[in-house]
Amino acid sequence: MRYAKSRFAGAILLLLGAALILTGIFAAHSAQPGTPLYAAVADADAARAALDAANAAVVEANDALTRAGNRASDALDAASEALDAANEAVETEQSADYDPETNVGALGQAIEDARAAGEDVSAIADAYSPVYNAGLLETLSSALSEVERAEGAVEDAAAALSAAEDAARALNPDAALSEIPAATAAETTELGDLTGTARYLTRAENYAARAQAASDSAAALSEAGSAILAEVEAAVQAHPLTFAQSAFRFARDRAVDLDVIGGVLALAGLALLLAPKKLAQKWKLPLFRKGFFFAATVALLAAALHYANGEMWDLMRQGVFDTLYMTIPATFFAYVLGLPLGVLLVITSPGHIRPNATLNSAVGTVVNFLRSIPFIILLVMLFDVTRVVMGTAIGTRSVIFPLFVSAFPYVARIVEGSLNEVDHGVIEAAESMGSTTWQIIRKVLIPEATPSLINGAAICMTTVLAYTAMAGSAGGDGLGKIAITYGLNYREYDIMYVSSLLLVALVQIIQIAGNLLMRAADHRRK
Amino acid sequence: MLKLVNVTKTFYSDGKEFDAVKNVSLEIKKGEIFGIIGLSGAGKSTLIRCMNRLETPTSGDILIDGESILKMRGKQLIQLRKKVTMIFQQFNLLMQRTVAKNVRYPLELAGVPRAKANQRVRELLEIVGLSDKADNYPAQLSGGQKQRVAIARALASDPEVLLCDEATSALDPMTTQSILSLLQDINRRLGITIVIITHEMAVIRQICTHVAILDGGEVAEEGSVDEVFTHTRSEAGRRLFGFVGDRSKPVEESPDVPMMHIVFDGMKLTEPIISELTLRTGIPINILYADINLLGGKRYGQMTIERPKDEADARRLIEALRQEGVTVQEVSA
Repeated sequence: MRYAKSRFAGAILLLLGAALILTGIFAAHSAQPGTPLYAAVADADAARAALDAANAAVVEANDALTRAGNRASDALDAASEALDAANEAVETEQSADYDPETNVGALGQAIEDARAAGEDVSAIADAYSPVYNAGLLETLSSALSEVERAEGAVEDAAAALSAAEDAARALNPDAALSEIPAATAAETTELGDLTGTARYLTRAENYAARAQAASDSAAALSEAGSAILAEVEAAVQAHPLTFAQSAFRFARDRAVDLDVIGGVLALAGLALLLAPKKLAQKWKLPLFRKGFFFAATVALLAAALHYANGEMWDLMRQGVFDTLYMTIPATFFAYVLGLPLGVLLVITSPGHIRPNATLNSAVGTVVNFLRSIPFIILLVMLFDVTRVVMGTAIGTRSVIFPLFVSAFPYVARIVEGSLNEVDHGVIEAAESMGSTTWQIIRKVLIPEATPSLINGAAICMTTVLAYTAMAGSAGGDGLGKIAITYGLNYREYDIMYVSSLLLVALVQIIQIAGNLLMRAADHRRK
Repeated sequence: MLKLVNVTKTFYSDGKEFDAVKNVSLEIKKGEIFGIIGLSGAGKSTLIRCMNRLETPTSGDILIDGESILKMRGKQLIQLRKKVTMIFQQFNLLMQRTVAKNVRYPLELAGVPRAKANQRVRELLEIVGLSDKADNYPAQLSGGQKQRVAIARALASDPEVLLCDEATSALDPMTTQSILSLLQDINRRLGITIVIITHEMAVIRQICTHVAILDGGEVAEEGSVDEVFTHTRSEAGRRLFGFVGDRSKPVEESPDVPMMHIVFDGMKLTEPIISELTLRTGIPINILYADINLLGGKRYGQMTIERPKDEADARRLIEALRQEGVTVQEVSA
């Protein structure tokens, strides 16, 4: 009866986990048309879609109204500036001491003199001709563009309001929505054959009128708009999703996460249910507890990274994935080749089970040579070979090959070191019992060196991880490349720090995991 | 059953030759517990390693049941190593395996099916008295327990000969005794011939039936334990056995005293020989030096006593001693 409570808790966890898994599966299933759940969810989807559309329309309409108001105000300012300038020109022209002929003649002379002296001509023109000057023309034309922008913004605002109204009607066909006021018309004067300052003045006056009209329209729209928007929001509130519908949509969007969490809970429940005594015994061991909490911490960090919002975190997620995508296969293949090489180096060493000086020194020389080439140079040296082996010389996937080539000699030496730590007396004992060479390697050498080999693997993996930081030079990706690019090139230092910290975190995780595994695998402790 | 004929082993290092074992010839019969004793560097380790081909003699021959083991290789060698197994001073257990799996190792090598192997392991652990430690790891055991595991492992392949390379040198005296008793037990029950090398006399005393003394790579003396202990002939033997030391010593201490040297050769414990003789003959016996040891419940030892001044008494004493089966040697002053 002693473990009854644990078994009960285990059963509960198992059921909970199973429920989550089933929910996830069914929810994902409901995404396919034709399945029985699809219909049940389709209504919810449609309703939600309509609500989302209405909300979006409201937001856009608000933005458009604000813009229209701002533009109209800018247009008014620009038009009034133009009007002032035009009036000034008219005054100057009508003043007593303005003689067109004299001024024009003197202007021509002054321009000639200025050109001869290499001076700025445009300023002279302005001084001699307050009437026909570039400044005035510029002011007029910028006033025109402001007005046109304002008029466009007003049109957009009207259209956005109309869309919001349509969305509201889609939700609630009977909604009592007020009309959208039409744009106010501006009273403008035809320019016809007008010339000179009269033309300028007329233009300025037109612009002022149009600006005013735009401003009035914006105001009217705004007023009407807030009423309509309020009605739309009310309509949205009137059609909330039922809890079931919200839950279904949530489950479908998060189906994979539900399956993973459900799986973990179910496994934990199963463990508690079937073997509470063994678990309790393991829990007594400090190493087991450390391992458990470490795994939990890593899981939490991974979840945090998974759910973090924002562009920077999208970048980081991709970076972590790329870095691991390069590191794990490269380390794995490095061990596929490096482990046998390490074994070979050890057994052919003098005094060991198959001494062979020639073979030993041959392998040793090759290993030493490859080790002595810095990785970044090796990357370049291997371009052609990489192209043959991986299909391309650039990109994240192709960096795995040069990483592998750089890592396997390192692995061989580390493995050699680990295997050399095995007590020679034990090997002798194995020989004395009639073990073949292969039996000694398989049953004595490697198993006795297991803790050391695990430690070595953690070291090798972190080394490979460090090398991947240089992957950027070969068109690869990963956290290192992000740090270098955003830090050095774009000077976005916050991204550089975050990606560097993630690299450090990855290294720490690998080292701690390696250390815990090493201690768990080592039975030499009392 | 195990015969060494003029075995020599020479090591070459730095261009120099070194004869670890020189012309050693021994014969070890079935069922014996054969001890090889000598100081460090005497060549004992090298010699015993030649017996299961961990070392190969430079010259000479080693025969087991008439068959030379020097030409063996491959499968034959493996078969040899199943017949002749070994335990070591440092135990040499596989630290990452449990006790049971350690004992199972030779059975795995032979391809014995798992269930049968586990059954055999249980039997072996019972023989050495470690059934309750089957799932422990060597690091959790004491030295004596580790050596028991090693013994169980060595017995797994049903050997005919068990070689013990200083098997008790790393153990305290009490544990040494218990391990030696176990070996004796195994020898009696299973009929396994045991070869023990050691530098401790206590080991030879406790269980060996025959002993060879190795000095500088050569056999200085050999024979049954009784013989070699009581009638030590070689200098090396005397050095090792400690007692007697220099017979000249008592002479030096009292040069004018005539002495007799008597040797006890397996007298039973219960007989107070010296005092009975004194009472019977009336001749006082002045003991100048004595070293008596117990070997398998019998007394072996030597005494130096003063020769009675009276010639008649002396002769009577010598006669009485000889009647009791004590060897008497007169030492001239």
